[in-house]
Amino acid sequence: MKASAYRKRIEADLENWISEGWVPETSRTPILTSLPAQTRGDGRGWIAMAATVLAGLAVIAFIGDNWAAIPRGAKLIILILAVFASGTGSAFAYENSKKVSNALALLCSMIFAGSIALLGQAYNLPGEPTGALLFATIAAGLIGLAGRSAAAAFAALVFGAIYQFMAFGSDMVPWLSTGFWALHFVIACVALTAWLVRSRVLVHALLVIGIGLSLIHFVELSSVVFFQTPDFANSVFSRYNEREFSGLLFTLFTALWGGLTLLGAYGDRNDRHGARTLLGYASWACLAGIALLGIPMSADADFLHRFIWLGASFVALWYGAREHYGWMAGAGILSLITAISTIFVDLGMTLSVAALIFGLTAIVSLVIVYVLKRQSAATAEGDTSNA
Amino acid sequence: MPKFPRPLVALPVVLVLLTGFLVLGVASHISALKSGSEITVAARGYDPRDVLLGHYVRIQPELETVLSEEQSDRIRANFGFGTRRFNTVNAWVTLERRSGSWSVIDVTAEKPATANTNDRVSFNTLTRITASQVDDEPLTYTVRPQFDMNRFYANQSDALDIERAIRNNSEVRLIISITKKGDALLKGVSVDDHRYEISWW
Repeated sequence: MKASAYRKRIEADLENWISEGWVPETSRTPILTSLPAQTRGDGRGWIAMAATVLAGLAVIAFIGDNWAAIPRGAKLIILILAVFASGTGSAFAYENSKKVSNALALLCSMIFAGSIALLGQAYNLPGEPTGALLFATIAAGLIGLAGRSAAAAFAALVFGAIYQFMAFGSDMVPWLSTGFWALHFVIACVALTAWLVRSRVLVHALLVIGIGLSLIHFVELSSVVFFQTPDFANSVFSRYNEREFSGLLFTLFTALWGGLTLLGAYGDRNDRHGARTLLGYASWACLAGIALLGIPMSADADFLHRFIWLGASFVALWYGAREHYGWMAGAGILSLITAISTIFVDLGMTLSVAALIFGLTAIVSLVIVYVLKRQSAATAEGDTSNA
Repeated sequence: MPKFPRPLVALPVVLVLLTGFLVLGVASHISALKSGSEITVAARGYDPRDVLLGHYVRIQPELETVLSEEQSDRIRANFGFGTRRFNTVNAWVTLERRSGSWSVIDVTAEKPATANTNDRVSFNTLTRITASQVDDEPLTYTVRPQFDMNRFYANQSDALDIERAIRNNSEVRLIISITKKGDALLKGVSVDDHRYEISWW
């Protein structure tokens, strides 16, 4: 919970507790004083950050306008000076203004990425554009880590994602590509940066990337199991509809993200940073994996799969609602709606089978509700007798 | 919590490493251009240009040699083309300078044992080898090395000068450096003996 939201909640609760007589009026001020101060800020940091980026753009635009007239060697010197100016500026600003330092580190990684392309042109360097992009990705990851800059680290993830999409065009076997493994080094740098600067944005970005990356790994692993060689392109475009192949792929995917959902729940109980976010993303990925376990989706509709899918959706909805995990409950609702819709359009399933699935799920759900109600009543009774 | 170096220490170290690596890349390229054996190959320009990629001339080497019957027999035996007419192979191409211009004298799967000289160089590249009509006797091959170069970046004024020269049918040639490893690198463009060459400055 954010500090400001926590403070508001305590203020409202205190009002009630004092009016009920549970807390003396004299305790109000010491309790509120003990809370973290409500820092609203005046937005100076954001203005400074925007101004820094604008200053950088002004320099870039001016140099760009005269670029054609500048000799190659001078271009090299200008670009290296620009990288050093922004980078050391970021390092010096770190202790006094984290926002300015963050913006300068981002500018440094952008200038470095631009330098690779501009020097490549100026000296007609051989090589593929993907190689330049991978170098820019590694550089941004290292600048982000060394400068403790969430913005530069985020840029590394964006560069990395673009690199991977471009690399798919020329090299469709990620496990045999050095660049693909180099991306893991960059992701490790970004994860370390996220931990050092406690960045929520980076945690979100890492989880999104993690879902995509796990899918690529499991496609390759399934290819090795079934076809004795990693073969991403063929697997994705030709074999995705083969039940055994997609079954293994999405079982692994569901198991990983199901496990991470449990880890997130455990971490949140122990107040671990980022655990709640992990739980949200992992529950969505896990439910998506369970849904995709049913491939192929029509004709061959699998009774057991649909039943498990509905059950998992109910569990996510119940647990998310009980523990106030909005994202998990949302995933449960969406999964439930999708499962019901899929069951209705399953060509191989008659309405009677659909009715049987819905009926069974409803009965199991009602039994769970009854058991939970009994448990809750027993707990309340125990509390009253103890009092 | 483990200690990590502060940005004031870590960032300059990373910047030195990154820019050092960048400069090293440029330096090794310039060194390869300077130390390699130089050949010049006729070139032709083509459109369209990509306006997003700055100033450059789209230009392709035009090196095509019809081999003798004896050379063609050797190539067919080496690569096992059989009756296939169009073939593209990764091969070592040997060029020889005869009365000022370079032409292909051999194509082999392995690197030739002889070192490059002023009048004979070998390099590794994708090569298109096309047989004459199947019913032609004797069967000969036309060899066209696919140099991995199709554009020359230059300052705006130089790029425009070169483009104008191409349109006016001036003698435009690509200056290519063949390194000891056997890579063909674009070193510059020559227009009516005026050289636009890549150098440090």
